[in-house]
Parts: sequence; structure tokens; C-alpha cells
Amino acid sequence: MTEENKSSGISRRTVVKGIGATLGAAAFAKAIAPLASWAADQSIDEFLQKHYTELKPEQMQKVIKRLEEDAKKDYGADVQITDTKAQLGVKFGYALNLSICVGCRKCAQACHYENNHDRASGNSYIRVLEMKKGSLDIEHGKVDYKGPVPKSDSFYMPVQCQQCDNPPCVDVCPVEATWKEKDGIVAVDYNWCIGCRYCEAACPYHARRFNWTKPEIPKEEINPVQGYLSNRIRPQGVMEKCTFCMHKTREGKLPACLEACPTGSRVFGNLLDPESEIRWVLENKRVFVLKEELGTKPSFYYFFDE
Amino acid sequence: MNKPAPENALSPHIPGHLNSYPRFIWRMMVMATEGNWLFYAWMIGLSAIALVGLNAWATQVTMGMGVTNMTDHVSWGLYIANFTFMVGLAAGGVMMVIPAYLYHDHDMHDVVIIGELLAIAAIVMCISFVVVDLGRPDRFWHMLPGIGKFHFPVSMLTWDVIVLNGYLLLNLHICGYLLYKRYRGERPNPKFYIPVVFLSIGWAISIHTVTAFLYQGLGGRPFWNTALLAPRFLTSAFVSGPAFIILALEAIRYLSDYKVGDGAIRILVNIMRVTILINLLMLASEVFTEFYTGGSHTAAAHYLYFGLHGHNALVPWIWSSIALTILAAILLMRPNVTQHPVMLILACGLAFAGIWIEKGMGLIIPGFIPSTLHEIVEYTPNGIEWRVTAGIWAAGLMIYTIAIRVAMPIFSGEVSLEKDAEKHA
Amino acid sequence: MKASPLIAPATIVAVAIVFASGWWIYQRSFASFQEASAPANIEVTLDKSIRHEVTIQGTPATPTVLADLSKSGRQTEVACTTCHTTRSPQTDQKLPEDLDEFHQGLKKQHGSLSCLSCHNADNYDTLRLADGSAVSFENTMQLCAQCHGPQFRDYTNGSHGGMNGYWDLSRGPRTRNACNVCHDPHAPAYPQLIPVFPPKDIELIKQKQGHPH
Ligand code: SF4
Ligand code: SF4
Repeated sequence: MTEENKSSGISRRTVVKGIGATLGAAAFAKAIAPLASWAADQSIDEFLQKHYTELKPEQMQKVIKRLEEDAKKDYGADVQITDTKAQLGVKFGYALNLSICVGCRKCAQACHYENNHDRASGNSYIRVLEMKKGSLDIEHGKVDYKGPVPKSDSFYMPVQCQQCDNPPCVDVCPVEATWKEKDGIVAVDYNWCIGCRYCEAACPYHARRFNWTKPEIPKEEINPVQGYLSNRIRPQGVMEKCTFCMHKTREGKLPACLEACPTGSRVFGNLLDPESEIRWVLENKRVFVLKEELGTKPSFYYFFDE
Repeated sequence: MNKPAPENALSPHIPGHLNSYPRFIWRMMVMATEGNWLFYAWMIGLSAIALVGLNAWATQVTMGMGVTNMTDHVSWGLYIANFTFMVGLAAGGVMMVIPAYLYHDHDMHDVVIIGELLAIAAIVMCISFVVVDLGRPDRFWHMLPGIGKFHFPVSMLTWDVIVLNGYLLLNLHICGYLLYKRYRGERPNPKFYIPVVFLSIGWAISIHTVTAFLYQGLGGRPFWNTALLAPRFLTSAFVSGPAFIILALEAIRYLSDYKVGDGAIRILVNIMRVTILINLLMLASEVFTEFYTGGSHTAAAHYLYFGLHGHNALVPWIWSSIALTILAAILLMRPNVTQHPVMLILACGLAFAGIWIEKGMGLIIPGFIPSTLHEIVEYTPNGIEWRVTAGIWAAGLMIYTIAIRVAMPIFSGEVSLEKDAEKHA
Repeated sequence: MKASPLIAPATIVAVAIVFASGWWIYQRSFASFQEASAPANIEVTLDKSIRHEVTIQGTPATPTVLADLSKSGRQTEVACTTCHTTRSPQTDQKLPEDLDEFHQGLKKQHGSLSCLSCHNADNYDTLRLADGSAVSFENTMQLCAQCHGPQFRDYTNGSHGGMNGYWDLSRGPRTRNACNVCHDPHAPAYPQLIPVFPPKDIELIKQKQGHPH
């Protein structure tokens, strides 16, 4: 090698190396080519957007405007996104009467449409378990049960985010993309989440969903009433979860799953208001929470009629 | 003693650092692209695989993680499995350091760098496996302390980021410093690296412990939520690390002219003899607890070892892992194993493969099956995932090959500043 | 090795660091949960002065039945009293199946109640409470509540029966279903139904991954 170097200045080896490097660079460019189309879709504003808690009101307005435009561009839908803040003196709680739930899954369906879920995957934040009477162990639960329901030997247990007061999902997030709001809702900033799915592994209730692909929803089926932290159409590659329909409940309305429930098994309200229905349930029914031994302190309670 | 020796007192040719450091870097780059036809064939093959992997990853970013076989039920798959294993390999690589520095074993001193370089390559692979697992790699900066939001100390993942990167820096420092000093023909100043070496030994344990804590701390996943997880991580790391280093040493022995002392290999085999048995013991202890107690918390173990309700995708994996490990243990126990290279290579290969399955598919996947609502959704990696994984392995092997390719001549004194200077003169 | 005089201060510093970082971790990770789990000391600032209405929807109007009064084969809607003022009730007949002329096909599956447990023989356009007093069809729920006390209690407290509208009545009204929206008074057991919206993901995953089952 040294001989060659000395005699010719540019050795054959150098030439071969140069060709190799050129070929390599070309192959590299070819390999990452798919990224080009994806990168073209990303705006620099979106890339540089700050964390939800650090956005000033006027910045938030800009972000919302951009998101509304994106919805128009990508889905052809006119949507209104709001960012209603938590109300002081409100902490949301949910209770579910297992004695009267019939397992019709209307809540799961309502969730699907209310929250602009991807149509192809049939996503919903609610999973309804059919459980054999005589056991509360969800090991004996079944989600893909068929009708007619209710079966006489079974009861039905819908499970969704329990809005834990000690939420493992929040603890594990490396970038604080998910946190507990003042009214008890565990929210996700869809524009901050890096999609590591650690929270999904940490949640003991299978409450989190990942956007494995960009959600597909026909234009006319899009729910235009959207909340920044709740049901706006999520980007690809981020985590999402039940927010107790924050865009409705923070306006004082009942969540969609409750309204869809034909039996009234679902009780929703303000845990801090002693006169609320939810408080009545907590004080007069023998309620329990799922997997209490894990210390997650859910804000979602189950009970049976006596 | 009374005459202060200037830095370049060794040789009149040796210039100052400002001059020699760029030369050192340049020399390494030149060496990295030179070798015999075997080296070129190997590197070109690896580059091709790495590019295929890169392409698969680009597709995954563009189309979404939905192109993989991961689901909301099994939300981590082959990538995180490999990540976990690679952390072990990185920690195990430093195992060589302990006998070398703690006991001043001479044979080890020269090969220690091989372990440290392995640690570097393994950490780079770890970080790559985490990055390819992200749904939004473009938002990676959100994790940077200062400009992003670093959820420290609550999130164990932030600890992992710190320890992995710290470990990378430590090893880069040690290797870089030792090589540079050798290149200049100077004795490394113990003040500048011995404390770092000791730190890196402790750190090696921490990277694996913290990584185990990632899983161990999740109360909702009973399969992981056991105090035995971190110790088991360590012992298995101290099997796979030495196993890989032995393989690398044997490769160096056969493919180059460098002398590799038998002493080093003997020490490594002795380490493996102990750790592989401890690992099997811990396995037995775990299996006992799971199956003697019973109850629904053991569903994941049931699924892993025997299948559950007719689902048994992982059963062949875990039994082959156990068989491989036991076979490796038997081979390693033979007193004359170090005299039989074939047997030794076989034993190390078996142990390596066994631990790879155990710490990967056998540890990460059953954590998700059954899901937290006890649904059984199975998982087998698909083409995209295998391609990305193979790509990262290829890239890691490239880094390791280059590192050794560069380090060996410098370490053996074949390449040095003095000789380079003579050549140019 | 000789013990260095620095050992003592170094140990103190090390211990101090351990405790300080422990406290810091505790503060950041656990202290906040205690706050979250003790929300009772947050002051309630809800405005209770306005209360929107809760409307109960679906209560029956005074019913009619289909009857072929002219014997022409054509059925017409008639008020209960049309017939029941001219014919005296057959108090010995407890079930609709026992009747051979009217109310054919009506099924009663409601415990051991008979028709006149609820229907008012004195005025068939009303219902009759257990104490003999009449109650209008609009107020059927009073009648139900006589026996189904726990359900009625739960209903009044919002934990039984479907509803729509606002949880926060200071901000909007609410609509609730009457008992008979879900429970047929003659056969009140909630009917079995076919569940909607089966989870699609499991099937999709099986297809994608090609698992046989
Ligand atoms: S149920 Fe799961 S997602 Fe919801 S707050 Fe608890 S841990 Fe988080
Ligand atoms: S997936 Fe998103 S929200 Fe969940 S832990 Fe990772 S960054 Fe946080």
C-alpha cells in the first residue's frame, strides 16, 4: 500500500474506495427514499411545537388553527377544536353498575364515533368483558362474546381508562407527554408524545391505544366538535386514551358512553360535589375498584346492586 | 527524576497534541477502510444488510408502526427484545475489565480493549433499537434535558437514557484515551483512566439494573414484576458478554496474526461457568415460584412454557433457549474445553443464542401475553421487523469490526505515530 | 494504605447527597400523588344557584287499545273506558291468557300480579296504587316504585336508567328515561339483545399474522 502511495499519488485502492463510497451513498439515498414523502408532510411549526403546558394562549390559537386546516386538508372536514381548561372544584368520577349492565357494547360503539377513531381497526377506548358469575377474576373474562346478551350465567364489565390518581402511565413517560389534569383526567399531548409506548406497557387496565397508522375516517363521519386534549384526529405514531370525553364533560355535558348506555349502568359526576350522583353511589353502594392491590387509585368504580 | 521530562521526550519526531490528535483520527479512518478481501467482503455484506434494514425502517416511519406485527396488546416486540439483550451484552463486555484491573491479570490487559469496544458497539445498537421502536423518531429531541422535557427521576426510561449514554461516553473515553496514548507511544497515565475504568465497572451493573427496572417496576405486568428480574439480567449478561468476546477472540486468532493469550480465554470461561449455572438456578427458582403457587398471575409463565388455551407461539422458543443454555453449560463444564476451540466456539455460540432468546422473545413478549385484561393475542415478528433488526445487528457488527480493525494494530504497536512519521519523512 | 483525613468529611457529604437525592425523588414522584388523592380540601366553587330541569321522557299517555267494535273486521283505536264502562271486570281471571274475547296475545310475565294489581277497575283510564288511590298513566313510576323501591331509589339518585344531557345541571338540562322505556310493564324483564360493535382488532390481528386460530 505504501509502495503504491509513493509511486502514483492516487492509488488504485483510493479509486476503488471512491467508487465504493459513491455506490454506498447512492444505495443509502435509495434506502431512505421512503422518508422523503413523509418528511414533506411534516411542517416545521409542528416539529418545533412546544409542550402543551408551555404554550401561551396566542400560541395555542395558532396551533389550533393549524390543526383545523390540517383536518380540512387531510380529511376534507370542517372541525372546531377547543381547549377548555379544567374547572376549579371539579374532579371527575365514574361508576358502573355491574348488576344492570347488559353487555350490549353500545358504549364502546358510541366511543368509536364520538372520538374519531380509525374506522378500519374499529378502535374504541372501552372493552366490555363477559364474566362468569362467581368470579371477579378478569382472567375468566371474554371480549369477543356473541349474543344474545345478557346470558343468565354471566355479568358484563366494561373497562376503560380508570383515570388513576396514582397513574403508572404518567410516571413512566420519559417526556411528560401524559399527565394528570386538575380535574383528574389523564391527558396526552398528541403533539408531544414520542410514541415509545412505555405507558401502554405500564397501564394495568389496557386503557391506552397507539396510533399504529394514520386514522382513516370518512369525511362525513368525522365528529367536528373536538377538544385539543381529547377527540381531535390523532396523528400517526402517538398514544391516545379515554379522556372521559373531556370536550363534552368540561362543558358540563355527560360523556358519550353514558349517553349511549340504554340501562343507566353508568354514573358520572363531580367527586367534589357532595350532592352529585357519583358521590351518592360512593356513599350508598359497596363499590370496588379494579386491581386495587396495585395502588393505582382509580377514579372509576364498580358496584353491584344488593 | 530531577530533570522534568517533556511530553515529547520519547522521540524527537513526536509532535504536540494539536498535531498528533488529528493525525490519530485520520489514521484510524484510513485503517478502517483498509483490509484484505475477507474484510471487504464482510463489510460489504454487512453494509448491504444494514441498508436493507434502513430501508425497512424508512418504510415503517412513513407508513406507521402498523407495518410491524406489534399491536395494542403486544405493544413491544422484537426491537425492545433485542434492546434488552444488547444492554446485557454491553454490560457483559466490561466483565473482562474486572480481572484485568482488579487482579492485575496480565493476559487480560491486552484484550480488555476488546470488551470495551464491544460495549461501545452494543450501546450504539441499544440506542438504535430504541429509536426504531419510537412511533415519532422526529420528536426525539423532546427527550433532551433543557430544550425538551426530561421526566427525571420519575420515569425509569430517563434513567436508562442517562446510564446508557453515560456508559457510551465512559467507554469511548477509555478506549480513545488508551489507543491515543499507545499511538503516541506513551504510557497511559493511570490518573486519566483507572478511575474511569472503575466507574465503568459499576456503571455496567447500573445499565443492566436500570434496564431491568424498566420492566420490573410495572405492577400491572406480573410476569416482570419480580425482584429476581435485575439479578437475572446481570447473570445472563455475564454469560452472553464473555461468550461473545470469546467468539471475537477466536475470530481474531484465526483471521489475523495477532496473538491472543490463552489466559484471557481461560478466565472468561471460568466466569461463564459460574454465571451460566447461577442463571439456570435462578430460572429454576422462578419456574418453581410460578408453578408451585399457581393462580392467574402465572398465566404469562404458563403461556411461555406450556401455552395457554391453545396458544403456544412462544413454547418452542423458550424450550430451545433452555436446551441451548443447558447444553452450553454441559460443554463449558468439561475441564478441557479451552483446549478444544471447536467445542469452545460451539459452547459460546449456544450460550449466546440461548440468552438471546431468553432475554428477548422469552422475556419481553410474555410480559404482554395475556394482556392486562387477560386477552391472549399472540405475536410473531414480521418481515419488516426482522429486516430492521438484522440491519441494526449488521451496523453493530460493522462498528465492532472496524473498532477492532483499528484498535489491534495500534495496541500491538504495529501502527504508531513514530512509524507514521518515519514513513512520511 | 493510610486512612486519609478526608474520609470523614467525604462520608458526611456522601450521606448528605444520598439523603438529599432521596428526598428530591420522593418529592417529585410520590408527594404529588398524596395531593391528588386527597382532593377533599379543594374548595368547591360550583355555582348552585341555577338549576336546569331534569325531564323524564317516555312516560305513557293514557293508553288506547285496538278493538273491532263494529264487528266489521276493521280495528280501531279506542280508549280503555270505551269498553270497560259497559262491561264489568272479571276479577277471577288473573291472566290475559285466561281471557277469551279481549286482549288476545297479551303476555304477562310480572311476578304473581294480576291485571287489577295495577289497573284501576273504577276508572280504566288511570292506574291504581296499592292503597286504592288512583294514579294517572303519566305517573306510572309511582306505581312501579311501590314494589321496586331499591330501583326507584337508585333511579332518583341517578344510578339507574339511561339519561342524556348535562351532568352539571347549573349549565344545562338533562333528560331521563321513564321505567317503561326499557321495561314493558306486562313483562318487565329487560329483553335479551344482540350486542353491537364486536371488537374488530382481534380478528384483524389474526388475519394479518396468519395465526390459524
Ligand atoms: S387506567 Fe391506565 S391509562 Fe388510565 S390513568 Fe390508569 S394507568 Fe393511566
Ligand atoms: S408513548 Fe408517548 S405518552 Fe406514552 S410514555 Fe411514550 S412518550 Fe409518553
